[in-house]
Amino acid sequence: MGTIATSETLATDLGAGSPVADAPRPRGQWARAWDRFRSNRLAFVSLIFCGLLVLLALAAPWVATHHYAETDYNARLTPIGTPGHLLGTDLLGRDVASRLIYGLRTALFVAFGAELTALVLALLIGLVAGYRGGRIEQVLMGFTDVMYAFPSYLFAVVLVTVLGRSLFALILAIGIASWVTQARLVRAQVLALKQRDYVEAARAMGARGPTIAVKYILPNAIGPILVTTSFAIPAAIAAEAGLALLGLGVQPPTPSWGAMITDGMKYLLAAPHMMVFPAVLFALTLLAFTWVGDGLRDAFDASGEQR
Amino acid sequence: MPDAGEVLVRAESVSKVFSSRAGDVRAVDELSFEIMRGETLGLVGESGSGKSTVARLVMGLQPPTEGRVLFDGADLASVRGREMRALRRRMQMVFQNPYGSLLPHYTAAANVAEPLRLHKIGDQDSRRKEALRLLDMVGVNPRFADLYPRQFSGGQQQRIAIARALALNPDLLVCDEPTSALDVSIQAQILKLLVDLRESLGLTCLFISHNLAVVERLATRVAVMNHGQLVELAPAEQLFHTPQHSYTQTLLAAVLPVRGAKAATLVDAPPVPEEEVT
Amino acid sequence: MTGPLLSVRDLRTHFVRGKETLRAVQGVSFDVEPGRALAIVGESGSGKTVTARSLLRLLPRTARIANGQAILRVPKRAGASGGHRRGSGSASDAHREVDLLALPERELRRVRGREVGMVFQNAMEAMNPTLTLERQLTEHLLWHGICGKTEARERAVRALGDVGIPEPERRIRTYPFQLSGGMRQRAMIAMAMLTEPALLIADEPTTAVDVTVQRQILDLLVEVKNRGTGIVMITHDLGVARYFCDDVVVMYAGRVVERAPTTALLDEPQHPYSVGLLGSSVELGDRARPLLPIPGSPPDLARLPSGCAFHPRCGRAELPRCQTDQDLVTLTDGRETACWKAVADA
Repeated sequence: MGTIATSETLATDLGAGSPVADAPRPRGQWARAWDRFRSNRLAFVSLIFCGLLVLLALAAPWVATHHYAETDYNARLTPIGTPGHLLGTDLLGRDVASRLIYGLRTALFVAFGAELTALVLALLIGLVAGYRGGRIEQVLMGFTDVMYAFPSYLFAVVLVTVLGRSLFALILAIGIASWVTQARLVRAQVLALKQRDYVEAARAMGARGPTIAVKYILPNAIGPILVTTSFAIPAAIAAEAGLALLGLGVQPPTPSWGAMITDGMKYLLAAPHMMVFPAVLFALTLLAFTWVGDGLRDAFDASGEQR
Repeated sequence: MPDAGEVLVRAESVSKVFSSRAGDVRAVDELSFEIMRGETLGLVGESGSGKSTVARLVMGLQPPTEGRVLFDGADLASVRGREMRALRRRMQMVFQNPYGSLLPHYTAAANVAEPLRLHKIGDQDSRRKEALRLLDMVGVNPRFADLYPRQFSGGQQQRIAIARALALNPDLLVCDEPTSALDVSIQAQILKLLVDLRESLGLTCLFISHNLAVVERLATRVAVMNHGQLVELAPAEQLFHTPQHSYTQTLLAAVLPVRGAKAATLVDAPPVPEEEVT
Repeated sequence: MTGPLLSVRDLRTHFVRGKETLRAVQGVSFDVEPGRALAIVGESGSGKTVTARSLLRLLPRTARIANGQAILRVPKRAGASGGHRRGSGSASDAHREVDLLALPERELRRVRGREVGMVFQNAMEAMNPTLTLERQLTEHLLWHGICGKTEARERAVRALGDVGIPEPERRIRTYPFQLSGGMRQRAMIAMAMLTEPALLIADEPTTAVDVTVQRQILDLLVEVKNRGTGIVMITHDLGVARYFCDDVVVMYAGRVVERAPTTALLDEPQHPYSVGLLGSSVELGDRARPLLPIPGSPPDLARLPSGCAFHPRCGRAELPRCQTDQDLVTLTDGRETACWKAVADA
């Protein structure tokens, strides 16, 4: 198709003296991505929901009516609507609602921590490998490929077994399991951007390698990287639950949705509330984060980026 | 002010070989030429003739496989680090694809100020002032200085790229097909701008294009390349009127005329007041 | 033959983007005669490519043909429409008229590539990189049910030879990417001409090739034209239009601003935009002529100025007269222009 002048292309070519209306607003890549993201209603609502989840997790000590480990042997397996226990209690008489909130805290802490770890590792390795090339790239990407071939779950299981069932171990296990894909993506992005004329233009201006990699290439690679990261967050939440299901989650009594669901399954008929609420919240959280990822992907979609 | 007759760039039997799995490609083959201060050397050739590689060799962006390129007497291949950066200040480049050559996440003003920032010239305020002055000089309304490259049309983007290339007040401006990606009417604007700037700033240019007519208009001397080799180098007038090499003759013969003899006088009547062209 | 081969009337193509409607083509009309070439000239955003693609409805999904007719007079031939050829031999029956814009998709597919050939700027766009030339060319013939397998191969080899590809017997076994740019363009023209279409639409066929090759490709297309094929050539290059085309339509912001025989238009342009385009054209031997660029750039299709879309860039514009719509006006010598001042001068 021939190029069609679009409203984003401004007719700013009229001479400086010609009467032009007020200068249009500058729209950088972030502003444009935000415009596109906002126009996606599902993604926008999901983002608000995710934001509320994060707030809830941060405010857990103030919002939760009980401490997650507080047991009440006089009120075991009470149903929904029991005074003082809005969503009932579990086998040990612990408040399900409070444990859900603290479980959310665990899930988000592990997921964000893991993905932050993965992102930092991926950016470091991908950027260096992609920009420097040569021997360094071969070594780094060779290492990445070996990690890629290694089953990530197995790796996480081994790591948790070795390091013990702490939050730190979980973050490390899940983060290390997911940095590989990210690093490959970062490298691919960097390689693609390195071909762009502006990199050569920057060299012609006298810019040094690190400046080009960090100031010119990275900001333009960050969009697609953020998209994968946002998809990796629900995956990490699921991974945390999965490890808990295997009995490798956080050390009880620290609540985890995975563990709550496992426990609940045993009493599904007697006390369905024990499983239903964590399962529903778990599903909703995964969906919301995935939808945010979808929205981000569309927002950063490179189509129409270049004319 | 440039002294005529002084050599700024000298290429001494420069060759560039690109090696790939498919074998070696001799993109530039034993090329020798000089660019005098104050002149515009036109470099013509078809795709694959190696003319863009010459631009990169002259800019020191790629090292030659054989031979050497001297910029103001300094061998580009042997200069390193701080000295190289000092040389870089003195040579700048304008690319074919203006959008691709601008930093997409920097505003127009920031793009123009970036070379100043990289070479630590002035402070933030003075750099911005200078960027606005340069934008104004190339015909971009400074009121649009804070827009991003993609918010401009192709012609405006190329003006911004030219402003950026001029920011460091270079001795040499290398233009690699600067108007090839632009529409006819915009191409004329940019050519006019380059002619005007060259005259007012006394620039030395290496002007690369596949378009013979464009080169004829700008160049003092013209070099013709074919398959990596220099087939003819002559003053513009001479080359276009009495081409010596058969390849040059073929190239010239293949150009399709636009105007009839009758029209030449007609279009000279200005359709548009000249001062509106910024 | 009576009447033009292709007659386009009031073609309007719109693009829908969010809440905006971009009027990429706004009421374009032209005729193409058999054995003649019409150039549609314009800059990016002028709507020239959209016009050409609208004729075969090869448009992106956001595009909509809002109005218009494109009547193609197709010669009836043996074997056409599956061999259901009726016996009568009257002159009016030698052709059938189809409206390309109204034809059902199924029938349009039969017309595309058979009655109307298409040549693109880049052959890689039109050819399948994973198939040899032999497969692509013979399958093209087989798909349109023109002949059997053995004949298809013979015809394909002959077609490649006709477009000047040396050793067609050997070259037919190669893949498109193994050919040089010029050879690929030739192969694409061979493919387009296989079915002997009555009309060829060429969209910037020489823009991506070198000058020396450009001349060869154009000479090849001249042969095609001389065999009686009508050609619509989309180009931004006035030199190409002058060399190859009999008539020129100049488009600006989706409208035809001027239409005339090529030499008349390029020697004595009437519309200020055509004058400006010629003033902007740089050519060999006119170094002494001052460059006269058109100021500004083409308008945003979503925010077109009222009336003549060129008036903000026009040195002759007079307000408010130029802010009212101006249709094409036929001048005494049969050429048409959409500028009232040019009409007044004539």
